[in-house]
Amino acid sequence: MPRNRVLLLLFAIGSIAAFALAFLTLAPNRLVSGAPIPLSYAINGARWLALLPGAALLPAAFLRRRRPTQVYVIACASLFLAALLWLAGDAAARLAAAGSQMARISLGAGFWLLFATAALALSDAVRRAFRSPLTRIAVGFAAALPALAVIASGHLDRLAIAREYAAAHELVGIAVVRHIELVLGALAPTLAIGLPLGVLAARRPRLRAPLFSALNVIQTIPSIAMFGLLMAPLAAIAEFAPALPRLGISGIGVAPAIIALFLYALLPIVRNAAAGLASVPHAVLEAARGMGMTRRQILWRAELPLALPVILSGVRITLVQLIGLAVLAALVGAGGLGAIMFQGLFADALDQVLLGVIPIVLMAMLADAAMSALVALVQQQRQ
Amino acid sequence: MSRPLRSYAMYTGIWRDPLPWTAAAFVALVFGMPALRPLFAAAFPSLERPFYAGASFPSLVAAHLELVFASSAAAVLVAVPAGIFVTRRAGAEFRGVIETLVATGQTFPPAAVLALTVPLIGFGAWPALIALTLYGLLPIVENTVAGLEAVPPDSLEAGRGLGMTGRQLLLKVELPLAAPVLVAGIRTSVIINLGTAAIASTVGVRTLGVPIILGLIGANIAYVLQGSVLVALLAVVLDLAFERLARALARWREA
Amino acid sequence: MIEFEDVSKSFDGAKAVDRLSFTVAAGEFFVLIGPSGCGKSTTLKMINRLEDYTSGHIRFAGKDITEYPVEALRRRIGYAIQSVGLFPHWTVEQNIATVPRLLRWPRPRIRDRVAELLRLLRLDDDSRHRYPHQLSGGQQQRVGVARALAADPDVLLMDEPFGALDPVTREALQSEIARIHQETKKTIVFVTHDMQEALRLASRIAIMNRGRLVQIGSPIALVREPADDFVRAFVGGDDRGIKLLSLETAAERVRAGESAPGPPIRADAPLSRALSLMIEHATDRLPVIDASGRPLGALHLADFPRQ
Repeated sequence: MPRNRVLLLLFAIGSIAAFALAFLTLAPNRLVSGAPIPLSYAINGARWLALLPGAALLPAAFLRRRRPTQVYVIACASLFLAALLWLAGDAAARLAAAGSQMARISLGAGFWLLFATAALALSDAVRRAFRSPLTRIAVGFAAALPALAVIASGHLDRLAIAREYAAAHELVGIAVVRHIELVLGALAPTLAIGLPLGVLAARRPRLRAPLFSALNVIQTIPSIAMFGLLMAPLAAIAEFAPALPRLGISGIGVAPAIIALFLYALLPIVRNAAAGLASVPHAVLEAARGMGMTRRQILWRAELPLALPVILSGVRITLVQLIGLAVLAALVGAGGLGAIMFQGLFADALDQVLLGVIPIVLMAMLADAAMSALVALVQQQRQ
Repeated sequence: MSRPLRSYAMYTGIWRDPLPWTAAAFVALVFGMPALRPLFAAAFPSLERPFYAGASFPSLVAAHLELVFASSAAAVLVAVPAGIFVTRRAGAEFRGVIETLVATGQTFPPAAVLALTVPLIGFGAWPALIALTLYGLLPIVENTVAGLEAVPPDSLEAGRGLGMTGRQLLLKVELPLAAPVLVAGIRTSVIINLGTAAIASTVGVRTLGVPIILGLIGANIAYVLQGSVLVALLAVVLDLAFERLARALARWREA
Repeated sequence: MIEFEDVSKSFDGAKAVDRLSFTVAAGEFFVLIGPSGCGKSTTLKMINRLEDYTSGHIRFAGKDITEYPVEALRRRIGYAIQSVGLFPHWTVEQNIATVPRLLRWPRPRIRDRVAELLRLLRLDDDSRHRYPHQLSGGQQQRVGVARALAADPDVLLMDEPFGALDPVTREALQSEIARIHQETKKTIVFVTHDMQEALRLASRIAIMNRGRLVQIGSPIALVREPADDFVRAFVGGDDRGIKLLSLETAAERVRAGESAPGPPIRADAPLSRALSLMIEHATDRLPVIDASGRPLGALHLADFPRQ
């Protein structure tokens, strides 16, 4: 009787993908699509042993669901992820040795599906075994270490994605920095303007409806259209005041991007600030007023600290949203990781697309995890 | 309310309700855009071609809406049953994985899903459709689960005790009560898809994004403006329409 | 009507219900009472199979309950719970009509039945079109009881239905359910933890403790002859005499034909009420009247203790 149908299903999908889909693809050059390289090539000789941690996951689906079983799953999955990466790198090295310099070796659908199902099994086990968000984040991070070690060791250097990175790593670095600049450059004014707006909204119910209506309309407008709408007026302003383009404010580039990002970030910040303040118990406010605190003191010493978890949650949502939105900033000439992604898209080069997408996803995950941890810490301190 | 007062309220209500006139403005702009040609020529004297004439705007709007609705319909067909499954006893196990998938998916910007499917499948309408459907699944699953979980458990216990089958409970009690939240999820999904469909013109799909992207590549701000205004208005109109729908589904709350 | 034969239920090794055996006769007002966690709610829910039992047999109308398709069984048994559980998106009428609609009654019949039940539960006819959130707690529970009775079930199960209401509403609804029981002669199985409520309403009471049936009998029997210390304490040690008074009516002590000054008391009122009136008005006798107000006789405080 299977006790963990999720694990069983993931195992089944992973196994089918492993044998039915290509593990790697080999293309003689950049212009032609790749020929599939099956898993059997990767595991020749004694290499099949690398699959053992993965195979060891199957019996866990039939064991009792207590924590030791989940820890076992975490360990096996963690090793398996590292082993998969190792197999991919090793097979790529062998293919590269046998082929030409221009050959492109990419990770195939089979690899991705195997990797994804193993990662999902890992995350499911972490969820089942541990309750506290901080513990989950810590364990997840620890479980990712073997895989990260394999990547960091340079073992995967022969893969096309690694070579693209090697060739363009400066550009990627610049793009990452620019991306972060865009996000933080929009976050700062958002906090400076949005938090006071949130306080205002909490204090004056009459303002709330029109304010949130306006912010909601802004959120509804698709980002690409927002960028587009901002370009014309900014270009007009730049024409009238030639000093501005020298400062970087013109119809294209960073200016429309940051203004648009700022507008989008307003709603979550204002909404969460207002909600956080509204959640402060009346009793606290009355006690503070009774103690003789001024309005300002009440705000800074009582309300904001109590509203902090909700506000931080809003910052978390905003950060993740901004990291995603900033991708399109590349289309208006603001640079960032979106530029690499779109270049890859136009060149039909999946590896280049990945070079843009993976840092975005990692940044978003890191920001999400870091802010979640911060929120959890703040809430724990309250307890 | 007395009769004359009531008809007055209705009359002014028409003006207070933004949906009809925003929709009218949108339709007017779509069909009347060519009439604004001299306006654009005057506003952008430095541009050789201040007006996008590659395809008629109505046809672009139609193609855009086709893509959005097709992908949203497909997303609903997959996501709602998935959300229902996860809230049943049989599917509760899968809840964690689905939530992880949804959360991970949301760290991908929508453009990225497009950028990943195209090299895998090729240029054109199909990869765009698949990408939009995949990305559209997330808010719908999330909201289906949230809506179903918010159904008061006492009503469910009473329903079961009175002799409703699981299916009757789902269709007559749970889904109607969860409908507003569910529709909010579909709304989010549709609006996001609307924006992503505009970007899909980078992969050769005909949508309202064509003038925008062409304008961005060719530094033609007039094109960009024409496309952006239409996309923005379309989004606002659809959003208002969904809000109407959500209110109609929860009419009992306002009694 | 309902038979429990050696029924047990275990949760994860712990016994929630331990070898329960009793019978509920047709037309009885059967009350299950006991401290928190004694298994009374679980026992009730085993009747309509919202909970399944681990061993033993439960019979309904002669047949084992597992022989009925479960939904058909539940549609023959009315169910009312403490939190009422009305469907918020349906009007009062639609809520009450739940089971009749499941049974596909013709529309006119449903409409008539709803009108009948609104009358029975003393609800306004125009509350038909209201939604649950527009009603007070007491009104909601009345709708809940109406809904439970809608398809004219053989048995009505009630799980602490008045527990969440304020004392005044609770008293009013207790009177209602007693009246409904008299008028409709339905079998009612009622769970409560309130001894007063049980003594007032029940024709028979079953006291449970830790999953076991400790004593079963009429209210007077439980007050007069508690089986052990637990029952004695649970029924209320210190004021047993007053409780006995509340179980008998003025009609049982009236001296016919006599008259007395002071506020009248109805013949069907409990003696405890008479005592309360006497003390309030500083008298030791009261005139007794019948339901239409005609004098029947006098009640003397000296007659209260029974020989």
